[in-house]
Amino acid sequence: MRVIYHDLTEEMWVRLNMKPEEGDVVVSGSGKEKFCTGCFGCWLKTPGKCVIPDAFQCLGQKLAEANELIIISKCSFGSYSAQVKNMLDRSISYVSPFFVIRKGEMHHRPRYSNTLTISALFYGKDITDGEKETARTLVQANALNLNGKIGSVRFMEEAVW
Amino acid sequence: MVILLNGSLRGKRGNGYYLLQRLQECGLGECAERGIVDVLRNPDIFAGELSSADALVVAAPLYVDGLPSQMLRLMEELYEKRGAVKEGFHVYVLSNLGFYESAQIKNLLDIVKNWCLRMNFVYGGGLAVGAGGMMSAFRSIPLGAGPNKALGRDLKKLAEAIRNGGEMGNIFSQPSFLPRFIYMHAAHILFRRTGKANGAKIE
Repeated sequence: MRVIYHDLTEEMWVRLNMKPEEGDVVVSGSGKEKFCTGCFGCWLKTPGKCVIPDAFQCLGQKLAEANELIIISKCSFGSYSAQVKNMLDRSISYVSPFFVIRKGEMHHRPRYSNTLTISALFYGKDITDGEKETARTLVQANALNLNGKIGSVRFMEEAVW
Repeated sequence: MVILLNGSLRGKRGNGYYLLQRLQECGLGECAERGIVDVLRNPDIFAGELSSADALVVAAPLYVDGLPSQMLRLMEELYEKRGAVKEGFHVYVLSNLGFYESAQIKNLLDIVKNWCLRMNFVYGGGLAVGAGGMMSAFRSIPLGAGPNKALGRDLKKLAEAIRNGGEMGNIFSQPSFLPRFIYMHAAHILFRRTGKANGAKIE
């Protein structure tokens, strides 16, 4: 099963010709979901579930059922857009608060047994080389931090956006 | 004037606020403190303040290998509203993370640097602080002493760069006399204790 985080409008979604497979979970949000406050509630009060009761409350549990995470986002200065980044910020219950050393760095222990392959498609009109480099590094860091594998990192700069 | 922006939603309880206070004690001249919640309520006012300021210091924690989404929301809004800026307007970053290695903050610093290029701001550099989970335990220890030895030294460097309107590059600061395995062990004890107090099974 795939989880798709994106910030596309309906029109952009159609233009991209995205065809979700049966069972895919597509998350876009309304842009009104609360930001992660860094309260650690999803780790230390209700492990595995965010304490904020809105559409992003159970994203960690959705990721636990997936084998692939596809992120489609406007490239904001080499980062995901605020809207998509909020989905990731609100997904940290996917991992345990406890630490482990992975590739010589401290990261979180996995909470679940699945392994996510993480791919990203960044779009924007004039993404600079520096922003592309930052974005690639960001996705690699996410894959390492979430104990996943890196899939593809692509950029779309067509005027259609 | 230097604007100090606390980009954490934890407000005065967060490490960002603590670090900004300690940075001010190193001597910055005239400063104005702002919080991300208020600024997001009216970004137009904040954009106006930036246009007449000399520098901005962004304090933000590392979230999922990058900036917290509330900070990205503000940066996107300011980019949409971008206008004339004071020549030589500098942006500095003060960031911490829960992992031990401050080098993991580099992505966040690069994102701010990319934003500065688009905004025609000068990226003055960033101070990345590792092992943020212990910062509250060390607050009573003077800067420059014990585990705060390196932090005190590095905050002074950042303050000096801000005072001079200079560029210092990035500094990756680690707590002094605190090995990683002890930090990890202490954090795990804290997690278990807090979970138990909450009646939650932490795993």
